[in-house]
Amino acid sequence: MSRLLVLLCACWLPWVAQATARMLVVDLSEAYTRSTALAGLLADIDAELKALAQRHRPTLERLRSELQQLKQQAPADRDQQLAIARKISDVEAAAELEEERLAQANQAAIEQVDQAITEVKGMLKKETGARAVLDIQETQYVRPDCPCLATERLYELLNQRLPKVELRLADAES
Amino acid sequence: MSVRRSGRFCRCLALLAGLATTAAPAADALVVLTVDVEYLESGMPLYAAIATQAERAQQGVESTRRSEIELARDLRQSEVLTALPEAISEVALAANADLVLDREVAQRVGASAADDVTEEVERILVSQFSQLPLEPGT
Repeated sequence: MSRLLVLLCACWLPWVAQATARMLVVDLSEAYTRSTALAGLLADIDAELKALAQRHRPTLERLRSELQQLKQQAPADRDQQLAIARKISDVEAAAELEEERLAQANQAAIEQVDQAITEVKGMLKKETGARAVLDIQETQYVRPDCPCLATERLYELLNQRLPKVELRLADAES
Repeated sequence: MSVRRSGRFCRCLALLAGLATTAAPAADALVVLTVDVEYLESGMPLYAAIATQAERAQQGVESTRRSEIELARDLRQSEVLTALPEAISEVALAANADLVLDREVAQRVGASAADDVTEEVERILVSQFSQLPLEPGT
C-alpha cells in the first residue's frame, strides 16, 4: 500500500510543481498614468519646463527688441549690436544648460522608477511563485482574460514601493 | 490491514487531497505556444516568392513601371508583417492558448517545451498572400 502511495506521490508532485511554476505578464504601457511616481514626475517636469521658459523669456524678448530697435536706429553701431547679440546667446546657452540639467534629473528619476519596477517584478515572482514576469512587449499574444496578467498587482506594489520620485536638479555650478 | 495501517493510509490520502488542493493553480497552468518570430518576419519562403513574383513582373518593362513594381513588393511584404500578429492570434485562439512567445523568449524563461506553432502561422500567411497578384500603383 505504501509503495502505491509513494508511486502516486512521485507522479503527482512534479505535476504540482509544474502547475505552480507559472509565468506572469505585465503591461507597462500606461506607466506614466498608473504609476503615481511617474505621473508626479511628469507633472514636475512640466512645471519645471514652464518655469524655465518663464525665467528666460522676458529677458530674451527685451534683448531681441533692443537689438531690433538698434538695427533700425543706428545700423552702423555694430559693437552695441554685437554686445546685445552676445547677451542673447548667453541667455540661450544658460537656458539650454538648465534644460540639460532637467533632462538629466528626469533620466535619474526614471532610472529610480525602473529600478523599483525590477524590484516589484521580483516581489511578484516571490508572491506568486512565478518563474518569470514578462513585459507584454516580449509576448506575441496574450489572452485578454489570461490569469497570467498581473498588471494591476504590479502597479499596486509599485505605488506602495515608490509612491513618489524626486526630481533632483544638480547645482548649476556642478 | 490493521487499524494503525489503515489510519496511516487515510493520512496519506488526506495528504494527497491536500496536494490536490494546492494543485488548484493547475487550473491557471498556462497553455503556452511558441513561434519563431525571426523566421516569420524575414525567413519565410513566402517573402522569396513575392520577390520572384516582382522580378518576373519587372522583366521587359520601363523603369517607372519597375519602380512601381518594387514599391508593390515592399507594400506586400509589409502587409504580410501587418497580418502576422493576427495570424498568431488566430492560431492561439484555435488552440485556446493563454500565451504565445517567441522561441528565444520561451527558452529564456524555461518554457522551451511549449508547442511550436510557427508552421500553422506560416500556413495562414501563405494562404492569405501567396496567390495575390502584385498590384503596382494601387
